[in-house]
Amino acid sequence: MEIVVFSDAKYAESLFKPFLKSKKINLTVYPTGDMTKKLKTVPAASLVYCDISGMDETESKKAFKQLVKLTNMYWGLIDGKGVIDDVSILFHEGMSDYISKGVIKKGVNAGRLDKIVGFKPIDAPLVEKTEKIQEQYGSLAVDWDSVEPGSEYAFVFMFIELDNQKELKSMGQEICQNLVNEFHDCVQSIIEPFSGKIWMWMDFGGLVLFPFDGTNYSFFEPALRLMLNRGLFSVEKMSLDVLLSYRIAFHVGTTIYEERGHTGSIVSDSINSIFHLGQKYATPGRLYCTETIYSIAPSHLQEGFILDGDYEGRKIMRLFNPWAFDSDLCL
Amino acid sequence: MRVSSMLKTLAARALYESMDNTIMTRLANDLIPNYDIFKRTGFSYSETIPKQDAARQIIQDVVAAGLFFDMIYILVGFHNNGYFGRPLHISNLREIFREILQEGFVYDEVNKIFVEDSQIRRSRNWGTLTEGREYYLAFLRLDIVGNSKLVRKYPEQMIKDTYRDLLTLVEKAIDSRNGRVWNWEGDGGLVAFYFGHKTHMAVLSAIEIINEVFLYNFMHRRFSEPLRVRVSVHSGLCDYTENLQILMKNDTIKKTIQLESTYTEPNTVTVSDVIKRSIDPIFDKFLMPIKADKSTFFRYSVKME
Repeated sequence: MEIVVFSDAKYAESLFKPFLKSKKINLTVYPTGDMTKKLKTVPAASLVYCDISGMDETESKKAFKQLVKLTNMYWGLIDGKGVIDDVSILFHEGMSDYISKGVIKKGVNAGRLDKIVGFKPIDAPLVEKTEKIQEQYGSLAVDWDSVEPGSEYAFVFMFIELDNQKELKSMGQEICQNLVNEFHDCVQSIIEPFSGKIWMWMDFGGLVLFPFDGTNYSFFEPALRLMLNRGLFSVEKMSLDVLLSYRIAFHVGTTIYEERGHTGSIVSDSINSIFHLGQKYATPGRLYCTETIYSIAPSHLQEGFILDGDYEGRKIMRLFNPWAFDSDLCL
Repeated sequence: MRVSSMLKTLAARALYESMDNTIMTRLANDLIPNYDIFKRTGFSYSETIPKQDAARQIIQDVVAAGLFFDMIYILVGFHNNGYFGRPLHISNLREIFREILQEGFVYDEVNKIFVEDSQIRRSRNWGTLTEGREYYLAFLRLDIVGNSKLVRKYPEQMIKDTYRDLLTLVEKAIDSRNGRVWNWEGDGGLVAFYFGHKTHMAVLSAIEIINEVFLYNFMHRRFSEPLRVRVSVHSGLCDYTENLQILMKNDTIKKTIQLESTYTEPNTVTVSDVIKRSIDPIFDKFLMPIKADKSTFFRYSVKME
């Protein structure tokens, strides 16, 4: 993270030294006169401080106008002379930190930076994320038009499977099969608008593929919708009077692509991983994703997930349970 | 409902080909009390009115009174059950049905009535409720939490865009369940349900709205904070009128609004006990009972654990 301080005061560099302990931080101090020129080169998601202590009213107003426009980075004011009457209004204008005379005297600590970033998370530039993912996964299946059978691509895999299979089987083969078919059609209708394709389908669930360009996170929406609306689906899309429960797991992986029905000979570590995650790790009624999937999500979407554990060398995130009750199947 | 000339012709033919003047007149009297066919046609009481003239006049008057569908339902009853124990075949009934469907209506199997096809038209009264008549409806009331603060805090265009997002979301939830927006004020409104299992449809719509707002906040929100709504569902009798001011004074509607404003927390649906008794028991697990002011309501909410 870049911290850029525009200040003519001697304390500027030493004041923010504690920030350098906590993260990979790069601190640069410029004279206030360079602010207009240098602001254009400051990267997104940086933290900018402007010291208005030595400025007159005209200069500080001009500086403030420039800072308010910084919507893709954090900014704060250093007000050594206490010229700001109403500090709180500046937070409404997008300010992330205010360094008063007292704070200059007392100093800042490393925890302050965590609070600044945590107060108003700003996502790292998408370009950086995409480049990292492309390095890791190679050829991305950006859309279905670019996918050819026989070639290898990176997809978003979504595993989905009904829970309580023993109870479902005990209802009889015909009833059970009918329920599974209706569940398949329900999943199909939800994923289709988001370019999802049911690629493999077995006894009680299967594997869905979503195109993956490294930044698009729209596949979260059908998964969240499946989780939130399972009561509605159970009532409106199933002919059997039962509250459905199912597990969902997400992962980014690579595989040779073949059309559905011709996947029997495909060998892929990613497919094995997602099946392990969905069938051996996931608990009934919950949605999980690997850390890679989680990292694609913007910060406000990430708020809905918590770290659940580790599995096969990956950190696994779980969606919060959206209801007060336990999500187990009611049969 | 606008009745086409073709439909009037078919209906008149159904009458004069299927029944005599006595039955026709009795039918008209069932629909329009004290109906006098002689006065209406201009024939004297000593004359015999030609069946075709009688039929055409009855159809004209029934249509003018907004009772055309009511007449069709009676004819279906005659056709299926007979007339005072005697079989009565109504001619052209199939053609009449076909023509009604062409006019943009579908047949509601549950209530055994015609309702406008929502793919073609979405009028407030479904093309079928009559002014001044009492109906049993289910209502859904929705309101945005903290609207005044949001309007002060965010730019006007962002507010407009967000409220439009919300209306789109609400319409999607109610359209497939044949609900109609009766009143929309930008930051909330009132939805009515009349057809099918109306109370069930209203609750499912309310649950979908809350779920979708939750999803919207994750995926598409424009504000720096989540959008929050309150939703309530209640049912009861209501005299239908095109006059919105009079409609909003109806007791059932007022109770629905009170349920939302007084007993509903943000991001929750409050359902009256009247509604709760009539919905699928699958939702028992999702609806938590709450006691307030000596009454019991039921609450559905979505929030992080």
